[in-house]
Amino acid sequence: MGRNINVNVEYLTRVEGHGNIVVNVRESQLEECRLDIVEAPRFFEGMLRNRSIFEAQHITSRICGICSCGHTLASIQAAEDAIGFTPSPQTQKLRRLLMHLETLDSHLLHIYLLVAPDLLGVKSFVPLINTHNDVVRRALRMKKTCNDICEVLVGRHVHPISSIVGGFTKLPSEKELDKMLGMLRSLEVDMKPTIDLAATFVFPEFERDTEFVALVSDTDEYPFLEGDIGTTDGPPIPKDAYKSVTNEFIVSHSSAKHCKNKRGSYMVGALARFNLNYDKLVPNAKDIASAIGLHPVSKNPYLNTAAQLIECIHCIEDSIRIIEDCKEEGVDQSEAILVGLNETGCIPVQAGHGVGAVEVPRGILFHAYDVSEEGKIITANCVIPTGQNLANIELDMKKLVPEILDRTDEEITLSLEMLVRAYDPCISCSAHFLNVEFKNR
Amino acid sequence: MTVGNSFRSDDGVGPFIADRLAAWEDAEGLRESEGSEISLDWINAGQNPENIIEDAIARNPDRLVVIDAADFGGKPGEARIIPSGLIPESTLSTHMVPLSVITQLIADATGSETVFLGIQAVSFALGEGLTIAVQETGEAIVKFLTQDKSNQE
Repeated sequence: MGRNINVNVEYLTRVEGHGNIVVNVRESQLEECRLDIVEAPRFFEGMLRNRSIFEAQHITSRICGICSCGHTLASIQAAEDAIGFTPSPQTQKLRRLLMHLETLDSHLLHIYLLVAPDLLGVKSFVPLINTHNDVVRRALRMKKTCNDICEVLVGRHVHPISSIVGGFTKLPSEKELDKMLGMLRSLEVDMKPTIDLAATFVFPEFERDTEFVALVSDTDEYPFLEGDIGTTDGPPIPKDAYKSVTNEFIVSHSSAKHCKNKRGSYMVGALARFNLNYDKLVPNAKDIASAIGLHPVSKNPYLNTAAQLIECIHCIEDSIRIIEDCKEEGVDQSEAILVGLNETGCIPVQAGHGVGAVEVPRGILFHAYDVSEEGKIITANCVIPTGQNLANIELDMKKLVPEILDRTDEEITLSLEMLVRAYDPCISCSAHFLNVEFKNR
Repeated sequence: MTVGNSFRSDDGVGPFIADRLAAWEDAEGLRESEGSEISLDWINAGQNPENIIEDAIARNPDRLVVIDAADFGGKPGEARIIPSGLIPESTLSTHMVPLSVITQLIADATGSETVFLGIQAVSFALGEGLTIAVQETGEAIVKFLTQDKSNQE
């Protein structure tokens, strides 16, 4: 007689937002396996209508407290694309630094607070205070350092103030460059034991062949802010044609739309970036990747966390390089601009359509705006990474469950929760996320 | 350690107390007076208490008093010591670290006793400024803390 399984996780912990996992196995046959997204839509696209492109980034940054810089930069990029504005090389460099800081902050918290408890065999981050006090303090210290650097660069820990359409309202002084450099050096020191800890992690063995999507470019940079939409299933696609990649569709059990491109689903995020841009990582990051057994193209979604670790190494080194460049070349303070709502017309505005494509911690983020001659947003569209990953998570679950039917309900539930957590979903952003519901086990 | 968001009405009572303490400290010139032993010290943790852990540990407190707005069904502005077991352990995510985690880290590193002082809020609505009852309690707490220090000296 076959086995019946009924999993119903009605509140998945250690993810951002609310979602449920529902699994139904009858006579050892998988009948149902889905990830319910139960949070309400947030209507940010509607809020943007008739607002100036010069204030849009302050609105969209509020989509997410952890990806506020990413939303800011995607918003700015879409606006600048729409009006045909090209930012200066200095601006682009400092925006890359800003994106690195957010990536570090988000990845470190995910690795330490959300994933480490599973791999260290405890139920949550809280018991680690007793068993791994130094680890907990290091995690929070590193988070604070990222926030502090962000404050120096853009005026606040989150929801940046000085990063705007056209550039920056304030540029770092020599003293501030030194301050940021000092803090990055301290991050570099804390990164060593972080790597040692991660080297002890034993990730579940699971693979599924899927499509990976991330920005790719012709430059030497590991792309976070520029390039076309790369895929492991074909040639790159211009970012303007993002809809031909995302192909959003509605499913009844999710208030967030699903996406698919060449197959039934695709994956975005650190692992997708690693798989598509491995050659552009700093050498040290490549060495560590080899040391922990991560090689492109990796098809194990649990290793998204390992890819995040590798990106942390890259982001710290590249951030240091950016600041050292700034110190060597000097920061051109004359580039600082005060735009406001562009009342003085210091930035020429024209009607147009623009797309921002930014690699935020959880994957590629699209903002697309239709802009009027007055610089007002007529329509807006935001496609969030977690939404793009939902269909892929479900297909992973459908492959995983039959492979682990010999395990207990608790072990199956944990494996599924860990799988979803590996994607580092931000359900609040996607619409919002996580419960496992077993039916008829 | 004061906690709270000044843009959420009475949730700002913690930062309000910190501001008043800072003004008192400036007026007394306490930081500048060489050799003075400051028995009262404070940190405004605001909305991100996870970011003050190392700073708090470095100050090595004997007793950590966490002051925050609360809703325990009391009278408006009522101040009450909240047993640590009643402090909710909100869900951990990349977006939020529970207050209990932060205070435990500080206590583990310093051996300090932790006391949670809750002030019954009237409103947590968006907006600046405290309601009268909550502000009066905030001022009374500042007075108590500063008088208490003078008495010790």
